Amino acid sequence: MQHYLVNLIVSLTLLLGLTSPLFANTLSIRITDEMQQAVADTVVELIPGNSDLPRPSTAGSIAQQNLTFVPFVSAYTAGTYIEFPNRDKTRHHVYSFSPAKTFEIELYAGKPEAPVLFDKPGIVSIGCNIHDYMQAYVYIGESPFLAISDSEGKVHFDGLTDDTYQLKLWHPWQKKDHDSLSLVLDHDTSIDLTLAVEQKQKPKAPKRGFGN
Amino acid sequence: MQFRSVRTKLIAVLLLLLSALAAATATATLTAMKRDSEVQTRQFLAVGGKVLLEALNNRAKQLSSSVQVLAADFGFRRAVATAEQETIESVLANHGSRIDASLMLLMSPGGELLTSSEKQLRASDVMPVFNQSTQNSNAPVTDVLQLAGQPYQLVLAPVKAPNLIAWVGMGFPLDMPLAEQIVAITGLEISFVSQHAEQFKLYISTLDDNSAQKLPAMLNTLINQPGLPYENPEQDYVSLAIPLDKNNQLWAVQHLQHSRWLDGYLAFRQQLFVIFGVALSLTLVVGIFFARSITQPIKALSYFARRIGQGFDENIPVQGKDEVAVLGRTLSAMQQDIKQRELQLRHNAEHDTLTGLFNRTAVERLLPVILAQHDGCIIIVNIERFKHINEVLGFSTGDILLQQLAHRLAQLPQAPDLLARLGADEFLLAYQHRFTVTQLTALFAAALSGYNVDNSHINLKLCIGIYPFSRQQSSVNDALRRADIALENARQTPQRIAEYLPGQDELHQRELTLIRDIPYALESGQFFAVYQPKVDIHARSCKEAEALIRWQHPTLGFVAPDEFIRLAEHSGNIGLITNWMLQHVIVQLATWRAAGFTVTVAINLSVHDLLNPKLAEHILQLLHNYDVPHNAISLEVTESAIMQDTATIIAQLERLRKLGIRLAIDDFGTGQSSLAYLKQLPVHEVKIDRAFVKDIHHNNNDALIVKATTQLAHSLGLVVTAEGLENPTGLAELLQCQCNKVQGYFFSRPLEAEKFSAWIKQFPEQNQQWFAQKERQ
Repeated sequence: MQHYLVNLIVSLTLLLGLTSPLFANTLSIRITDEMQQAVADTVVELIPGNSDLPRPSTAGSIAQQNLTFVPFVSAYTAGTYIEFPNRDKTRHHVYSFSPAKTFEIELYAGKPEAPVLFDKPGIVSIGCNIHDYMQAYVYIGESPFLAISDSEGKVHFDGLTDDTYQLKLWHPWQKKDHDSLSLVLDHDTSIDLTLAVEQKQKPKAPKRGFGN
Repeated sequence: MQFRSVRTKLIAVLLLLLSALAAATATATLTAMKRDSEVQTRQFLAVGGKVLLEALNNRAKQLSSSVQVLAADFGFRRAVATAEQETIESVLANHGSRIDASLMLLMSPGGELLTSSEKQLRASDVMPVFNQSTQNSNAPVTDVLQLAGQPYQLVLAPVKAPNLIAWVGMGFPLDMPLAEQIVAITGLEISFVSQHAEQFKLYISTLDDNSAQKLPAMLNTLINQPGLPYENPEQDYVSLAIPLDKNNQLWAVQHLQHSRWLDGYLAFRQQLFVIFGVALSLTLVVGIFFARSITQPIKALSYFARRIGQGFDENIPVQGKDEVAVLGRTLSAMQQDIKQRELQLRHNAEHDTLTGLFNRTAVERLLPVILAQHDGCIIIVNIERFKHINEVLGFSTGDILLQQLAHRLAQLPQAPDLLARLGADEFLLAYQHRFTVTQLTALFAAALSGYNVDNSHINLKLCIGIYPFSRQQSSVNDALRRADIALENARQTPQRIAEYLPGQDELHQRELTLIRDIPYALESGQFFAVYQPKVDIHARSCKEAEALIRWQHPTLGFVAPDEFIRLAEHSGNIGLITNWMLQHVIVQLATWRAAGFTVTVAINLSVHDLLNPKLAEHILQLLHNYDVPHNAISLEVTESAIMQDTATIIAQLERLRKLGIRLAIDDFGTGQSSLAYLKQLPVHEVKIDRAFVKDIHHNNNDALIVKATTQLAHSLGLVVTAEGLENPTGLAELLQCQCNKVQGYFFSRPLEAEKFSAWIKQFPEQNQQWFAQKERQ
């Protein structure tokens, strides 16, 4: 671990030397696994040290479409109301027993009566009581600087003021919790991060013999 | 082994064969059956083991799905998610009871034991199962575990909400109901046991208590050979151990009751024994009947053969066409052949081959009948001088003559009731009535003449002995002997015919006895010698004597010397008597001489002795042996003896004379010899027979003969002795006739040795009494 940190700091120093930052810095992160494969759906949270946190967006949505939660992984700042629109023909019974947010929207179709407030940071694992395989994760962060890696494993942040940021990584299939990193941003920075992940298939509706 | 009978042998062989067959069959069948049973047992156990594992597997699956359903229950998940100890415990209890779990536990995804219904349970106890869960977090895992001292089938299922939030574990004990279920499925008794560091523990067993108690002792063996059936002699089971868990700490032992196949085996064996027993009994019965059917005819045949052997007429005891019947017919044929041959043999045995008449054997069989029925007579006919005819005309002629005579006898006017040839030229005729001698002479007249043999005319002379018998008075032997005596007498008569007179037989018997007894009598001292003095009448002295033999028979009393000497001469025993006499007299002489008493003793010799060429040598030997001088004995020979074979006897006498032994002619004057012989005989003395001496005193002829004989003998140089002087008058005559010596009762009767020696010693003093009488006259 020590060795790993030294490497990281060295590479960051190199990057900082190459760019000349102003007030708003960008941060590009590419996340790979031990096999150098891009890791999608990785949540990256940046928690600034001094800056005031901007107001979070107040709404989010996790749809149920084709008997899956879409998106599979989403990240919101604490205090966000998330809707669970049902775009399938069947009803769903969305629930979470996660300590960060426990809720239950019993059998419903269409749009539920009210969005659910996720007011505590943490990981919320969401399931459907009548479709056990359906699974979605919501990362409720303290900071609004939340991003999810794309299929190439890339994450991009804009408008980051100079500050020392705490960087957190999380992936539903991570083999262990990732230690948070301390990151000083005073210019546009691009870093590569490695995360040990167990590659799996995303939850998908199994083929069933009911005609659709 | 020796069997007394064919029947026993047959039955024994049958039984032995059947027993061997049955034993072989039973052994083979039972061995195969046992082997099959063992294979079956093994297969049964193997199948049972598979069924057991399959059953446990199925149960695990069922339990797994139950637990999985339980774990997916929303309420359950919600309760678990509360992470409240109380709530979790109650939901575990509640949901566990839904699926009849006895043990409930909850584990964190990381493997910590969150809670359990058994308080002493530790996370490490469940680790063997939990470790499997890391392989696949989506599906339940199961194993058999020993938890809280109990074997459990433990199902560990993930609790997802929807991510893995916990593992819920439900334990289902391997208990008696399960065991009984498995027994119902497999048909095998089952026991559950655990192993902990060589310690075995029996949890549950469907075995009866007794068998279950014996199980722990066997577990080591059972578990050390998993998959191999083990048959414990103490238990009535064959057992097989099957590991239940991955660590081989829990085992199921399945038991197949021995008696299940053993009963079949025993029942089959019982059946075999019954079949064997019935077969043996049947064989025995059949064997006995069959053997009887063989031995019965054999017994009958054996009896038949024995009866044939004894000469009885019997019918064939068996019928049919089998071998025994053939043997029966053969025996019957043999019976006929034997009868035939017996007849032939009997005919041969009882008939004379030359004449075809009965022989002596037949006479012995047939004569008793005739003797018993009527008075009658037996006639024995003998051809006189037949030996002579044979010699002259040849034996074949003799045979023809015998045949013709036999024919004539058969054709006699009065046909005999029995006609037989006794032997040689002797024929027997038996009549059942009597004939006088005259009648018989007439009867046989026709058989005497007119024989024509080889153109020669021959007339026969027959000797005929007749024995008239009374009914039931005579045995065959008596009859034949008496007829023979009569025949013997007939030979002495001019007519050559004689009838047996009563008493002749007894005399004959006495003679036979005497002849028979002579040799023994000589040895046993029944004979003794007496001595009669020979007195020299001129010198009035006595120096000689004649030894005479006497026989005192133990039953017949005194036997006259004339009688037994005649019999001895006829029977050829006279040599024995002479030898005895020579020996006895010479021994006596030796005794006397030793006592200083010298006397010359005369011994009589028979013609038989004189014809013995070794006589002189024998006498010489005796004299020499007893050291007696040759002149101490003299020998007397009868005139008639000399007449038999003059030349030989004269030569013998010459030899004796040369030895210096004095010789005398005894009984002179009675023989048919002429005086002319006297001059040829080399003798010293003549003894004039008593016939001329005893009446000499009143018979002038006798006196003349004595006188002439004496003068003649004197002229030939011979001494004359007169025998048989009985009175003094005679002595005077003899003195006048110039006889030299006198022997007779006048002087002394023959005396035994001691009396004789006494007599002769007193003679010189007392001789006056004889001679004085004469002088007185």
